[in-house]
Amino acid sequence: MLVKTPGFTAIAVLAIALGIGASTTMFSAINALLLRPMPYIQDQDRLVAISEFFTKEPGHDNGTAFPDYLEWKKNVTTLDGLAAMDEATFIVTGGDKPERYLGGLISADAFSFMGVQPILGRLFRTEEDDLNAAPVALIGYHVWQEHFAGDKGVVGKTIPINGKQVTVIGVMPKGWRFPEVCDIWMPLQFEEKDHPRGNFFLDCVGKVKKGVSIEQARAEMEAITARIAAQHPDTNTGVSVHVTSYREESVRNFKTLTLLVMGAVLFVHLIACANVANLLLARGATRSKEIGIRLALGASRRQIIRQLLCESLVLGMVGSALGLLLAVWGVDLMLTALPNEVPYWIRFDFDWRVFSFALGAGALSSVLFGLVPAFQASNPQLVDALKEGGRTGAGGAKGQRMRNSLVVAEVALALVLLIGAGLMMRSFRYLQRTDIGMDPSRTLTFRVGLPEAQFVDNEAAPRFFAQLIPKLAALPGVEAAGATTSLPAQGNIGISAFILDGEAEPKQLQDARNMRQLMVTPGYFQTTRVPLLRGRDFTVADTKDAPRVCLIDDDGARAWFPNDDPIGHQLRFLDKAGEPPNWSTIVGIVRPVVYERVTKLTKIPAVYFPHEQVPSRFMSVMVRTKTDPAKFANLVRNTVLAVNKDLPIYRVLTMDEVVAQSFWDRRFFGTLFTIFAGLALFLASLGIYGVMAYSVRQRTQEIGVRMALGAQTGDVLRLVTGQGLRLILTGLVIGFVSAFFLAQLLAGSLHGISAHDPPSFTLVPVILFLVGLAACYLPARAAMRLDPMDALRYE
Amino acid sequence: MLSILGLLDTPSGGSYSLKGTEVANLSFPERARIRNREIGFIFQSFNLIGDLTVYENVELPLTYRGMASSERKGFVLEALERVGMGHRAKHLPSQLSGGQQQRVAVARALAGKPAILLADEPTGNLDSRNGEAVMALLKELHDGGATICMVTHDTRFAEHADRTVHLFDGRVVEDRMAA
Repeated sequence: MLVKTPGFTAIAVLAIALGIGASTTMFSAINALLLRPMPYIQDQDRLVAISEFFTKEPGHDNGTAFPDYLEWKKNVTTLDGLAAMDEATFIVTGGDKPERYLGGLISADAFSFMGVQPILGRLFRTEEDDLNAAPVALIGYHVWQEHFAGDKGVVGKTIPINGKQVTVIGVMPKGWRFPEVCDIWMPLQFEEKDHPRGNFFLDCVGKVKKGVSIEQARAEMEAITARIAAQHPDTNTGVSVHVTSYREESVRNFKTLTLLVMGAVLFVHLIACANVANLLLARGATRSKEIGIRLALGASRRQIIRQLLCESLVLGMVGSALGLLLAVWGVDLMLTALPNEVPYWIRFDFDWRVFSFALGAGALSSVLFGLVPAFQASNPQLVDALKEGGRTGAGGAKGQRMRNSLVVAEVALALVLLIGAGLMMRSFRYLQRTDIGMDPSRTLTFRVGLPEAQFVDNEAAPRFFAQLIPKLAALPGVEAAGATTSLPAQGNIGISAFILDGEAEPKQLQDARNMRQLMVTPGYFQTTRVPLLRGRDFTVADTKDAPRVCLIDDDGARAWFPNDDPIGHQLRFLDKAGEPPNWSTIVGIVRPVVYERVTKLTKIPAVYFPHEQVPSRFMSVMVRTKTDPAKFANLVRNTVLAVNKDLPIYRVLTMDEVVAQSFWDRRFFGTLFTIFAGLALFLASLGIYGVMAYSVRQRTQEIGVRMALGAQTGDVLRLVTGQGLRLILTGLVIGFVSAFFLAQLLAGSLHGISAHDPPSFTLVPVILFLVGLAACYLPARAAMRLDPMDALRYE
Repeated sequence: MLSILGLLDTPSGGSYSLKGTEVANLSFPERARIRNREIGFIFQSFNLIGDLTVYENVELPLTYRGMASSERKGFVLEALERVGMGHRAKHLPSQLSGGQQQRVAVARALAGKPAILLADEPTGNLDSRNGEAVMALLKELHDGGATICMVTHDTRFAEHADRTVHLFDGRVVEDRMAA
């Protein structure tokens, strides 16, 4: 029967395919993020993420201080293993050109307790964590292939990493890039004197013992942390520990939005199912004669229902197959929209879960959209059905009510989605318009890391940048150049504790003043066009031998010196215990700049130090150009190599791209939401059109009678659109109320607007109303054009 | 032929004047207006609208006339009383017998006090008892001054007419006045 009605079959299959395709695409994301096991890690449900936090800021994990990690490791009994890790940039030289890789300094036993094995060589030995142990490295499969051309004799070779000779002891399996996108690992080899208590920066991961719950492990870790706080009140008062499932912690930032988009997709799928159910109801009505004949010939109602459900199942399965193909394309599209490198364990492969979901969704949908139409179609008034043109059964008032209800549901679901998309897009536009305090246009940025082995003394790094920056600024087409430890809007910046002159050191770290600390070269403020509000900018005269100076931003000036002139006052860091105090004099005030990600704004003022006085080996260089900055990438790369042939530059991005990446997740999820809402709008308008067109066909004779009784075309238009508008308005009211409550779920992901943003809640229903009106108008126009004679003859 | 008389169709030849107006070149809205004011239709299959009550069905042609609701009420009730269906005003057509439905259809045709009633096989879907009742009603209306043009295949009912035009394969084969 489906083959005999190709038009119906094609539309139904397409609707199902769109629904299944969209939901399978999103399910593959859910699968990748929440369901699929992380590759290579054994017993990963026992893996936990551990971080210290200040109890007055429980939502913000600080990371872990190295001495606290050692204390935990010594005392904990509920964990099978505990590892600490610090991200690092590794520059591998010795080949044709220097290569920069992201890597990790990690506790030597980490990979052992995780259960991952190298494909060549061995893992670290515990003693290789010692500071005096010979430097060794594990390399990732990608490095092995790219840098060593897959040489099986790589184990035992010595290579220069960050200027130091390091022995390769093993090659990790393909795809292993723990914790996210690392390619080289070296043992932690830290010393407590370099990383004192109170300096929270390490990422910790542990594995709870078999039979021990995460809660038990958390309780023990909290007890140990409390003991540490009692022993070291100056740094650890108010410090506690979070112990959470490693998987949960890894997806914390995306879980809510992913589940919300999955919810949106299910709405789209329900709308698609409602459309198919409507088609089946209409088809059941036109088949009442055929079904009447089958019943008259002795078929039982159960046999008729079975036959109709089988047809629905075929539709569902064909739709699922097509939907899977659409999902393959959808996942590709989704991956291309992700701007950042995806953590190694997030893999969007189509595994058995995704296939099962698509087939299960297809089967379930078949029942969902097929059952009620099958019940209705299998119960026609036999005598009427067998009469020529009998239109009872599903074509009756009951069937009409069901079709109307489905349209109301479609409109309501579509409105909820559209309002959600409206909120997300308006929030996204707000983020786009956020003033980050600097001019990101025509600016190229890149990162340079100076290996410690090559740049040994404290003056080496400032010397390098003192050479590089003037060369860059002198390039043709370049207006200005400067360097900073952290780029605006990137979020790659920490918080430092400090005191002002005339203040006593706080007894506890948690009571200290906080600042965003940046080291910048001369030229930074000209390049970023951050205006100097008072005082002076840094100059080349601010060397390490000159008096220490700093600039503060206007937020800092207002917060720290509400009744005083900041210029001339002094400040100093707290986190260098044991070192002589280094006071810096405030010489200028600049406009505040956003250094956090735009989605995570905080009001912590920034303090700028001259790079010559507070050197850093890792800097982001900014070059303001007169034309398209992206075209300067090769020029600046060659300029860096001309200063030092072993230094690769990386993260080469325009400043506009840096800002866009600052809220890529909001744009990504907002775009997904909008696509799915658009699909919902299309399907809902199709549903309205279908029901109204069918209604006009059903009411052709009635319309003829009305015309015979003197109805004008305007009366017919009002009759048809009036019926449609009643359905649309009912759907809008239900959708509006539902959206009002459901919008709360989005509240945490919105910026600059409330979850009940008036423009979204007024404009979107109006748009849906107009689209619905257009969908009603087409069948109404067909009704207006009916010839009353033909209409009266219509059976 | 009833379709042409009722301005639902246009003749391929000849001319048709209604109340002195040539109707061939009338626009759609003008035809609709004349159908509404001058002509009342009675169909073989009643053609009552199933979703509307008896009252609303009878009221329908008056709403297209733009008449106020209060004014319509008098016309509707009068028409229903004339066909003896006043007590069924709130019923749906599906709750009535075939004879009753046709009486409602007659009331609907009468409600606007048209110049002419066009009846297309008004007894065609009724049993003989109900058919007789409807014919009695039409006769009563005619006796009261209504002009009725009825098409029927049943010679028993044709004999009720003052003038009978007998068509066969589209041609007039007999045209006689009652004695």
